[in-house]
Parts: sequence; C-alpha cells; structure tokens
Amino acid sequence: MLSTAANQIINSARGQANNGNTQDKDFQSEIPFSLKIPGVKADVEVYGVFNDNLAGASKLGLQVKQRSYSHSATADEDFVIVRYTIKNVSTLPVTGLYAGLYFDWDLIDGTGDRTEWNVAGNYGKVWNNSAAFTTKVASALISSTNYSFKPFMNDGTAGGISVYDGFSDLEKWTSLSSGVVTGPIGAGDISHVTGGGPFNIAVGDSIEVAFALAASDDDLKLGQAIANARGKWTGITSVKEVAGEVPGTFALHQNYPNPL
Amino acid sequence: MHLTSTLDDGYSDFQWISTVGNPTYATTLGNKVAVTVTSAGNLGFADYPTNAKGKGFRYDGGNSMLF
Repeated sequence: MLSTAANQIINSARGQANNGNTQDKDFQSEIPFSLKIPGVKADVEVYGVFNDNLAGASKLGLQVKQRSYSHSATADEDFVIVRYTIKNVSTLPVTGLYAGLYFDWDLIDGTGDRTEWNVAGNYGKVWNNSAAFTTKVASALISSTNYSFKPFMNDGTAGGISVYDGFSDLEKWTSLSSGVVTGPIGAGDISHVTGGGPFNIAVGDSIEVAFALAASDDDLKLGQAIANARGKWTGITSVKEVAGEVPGTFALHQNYPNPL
Repeated sequence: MHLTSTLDDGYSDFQWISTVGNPTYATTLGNKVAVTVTSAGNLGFADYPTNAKGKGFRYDGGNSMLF
C-alpha cells in the first residue's frame, strides 16, 4: 500500500466491496517477474516492475521496482528481503508518502493468533497461543527507521479497524500513518500493517523501501533473523547498481592511440 | 505447448506440455521462508480471495500462514 492521504490510497490489498472478498488492483505490471538463481546479491532473487497507472484519481505517478532476496546460508535461512525502489515519474514532487504491507495472518486457522511490536528489535511479531504450534513470524522495515506498525483484530474488537466488512481507504490510511502501535492484540483473528514513512520523492528521484519477512520456531532466532536481514540490507545497498537491469547497447570503439 | 518428437527411423509422437506464459507471480524458494510476490504488487497469492495462485507465506515446508 502507498498513500499520501486518506483519499489517495494506491494499493493491492483487500478492498471494501463484498465485505472485503475482493482485491484492489491499482498497480499495473511493466516488467513481469523473473527469477534469478543464483542472483547477484542473493542466492535467489525475484525482479519485476509495476506502476500506479490503474489507481484512477489516486494515481501519483510512481514506478516501483520490486525485488526479493533469499539467502540459503544457515544464518540467513529464516528471512526474505523484499525491496521496493519507488520512483517519482510524475511532474510533481511527492510528499508525505507512506508505504506498507498488509498481512492477514492465519497461522493455524485464524484463531489464537497474537501480534505485537517488539520494541528492542523494531519489528512486528505474530505467534499463536497453541503450545503445539511453535512457528512465529516477524516483519520489519529495514531500509530506514521511520517505522509504522498497526495491529488490529479483524472483527474490530481491538485496534479500531474491522476488515470483516471490508478494508476501507480511511482504514488503510489510518493503518499506514499512525506510527508504531505496540499492542499486543489478540488472541484471535488478527491483521497488521508493517510500514514506514513519511517519505518525500522529488520529481525524477527515487527512494528505497525494504522489509524483512522472517519466521522461526524460536523467539531468539526470530529476532536474530531480523537483525541479520538488516545487516544484509546494508551489504545490498553498499554496492552501487549500474542504471538499468540489462545493458541497452553494446559498442566496440577504436582502440586509439595504439598501446603497442 | 505441443511438443513433437521425431526419431531417426521416422517414428514421430507428440505430447502436450502445460506452461504458464508471462507469469504474474513468483515464489522465493531460496531458504526456509517461501513468499509469493505478484505483478499486482501484493504478497501471498495472485488471485485473492481464491488463493490458488501462489504459495502464500510458508516456513520450513509448512502450510501457508496467510488468510
């Protein structure tokens, strides 16, 4: 989800119509997804490009390069990094932009789930009350520190947002722009938005927004996975990319003066 | 896709191979966390609310933990 205001929502999350059993489709694919194994910066990379051409009046003129990075080393096997390079291709500056991912978790069957913000590690965590189900998941903004996290019960009994009657634009704006709401929320059928902002993008400029998505059967390993993802992100961005994914032209020029 | 095979002795046969052209989603399968990313900009599945196209979000070979 991308947004600068409650009436300026650009997203592909569930919509409001039909009690939320529909998906908003504001993004248009420019370059279909491709897998690269091995990748340049990770063992498995996914790359694709989309824009906000289908957002109607909410369109801001944004092009998004989406990449994911998976590392297979044991220390990094519990997380995936998803990276969004958001470029302002419009003729107006974009100010106050929030970006976030909406998750409706059903770790088992939609009952017994709990979520909260981990203050020490700066990530959102989801786990289940069942002692027999040990998998926990976490999500975190890793590209900057202007975090946002909004947890809520899907039926609206906690967190102030109900998605059983659909996910409205106002609710999406609230979930993106409320800063960090620590919770905890649950146990029950829960959702949260993990995001960041506000961001400003000058005309022709771009920003990087990246998230770590992690899972583990152990709390300490879950937090370590998020920390390791932040370390990987530093490495990923320390290598400057040549503009464009594929060389546009190849040329052979005269070698002059002759060095021999 | 219709694939025809012809041997040196002239024997020929064919088979139909099912493929997906211009895929609209891909799943990261490089480690224990599997997440499907889609060309519509969302994560999990490419056909919400049916949720048949994609793997969702899985850990260590388990079931999807989304929706």
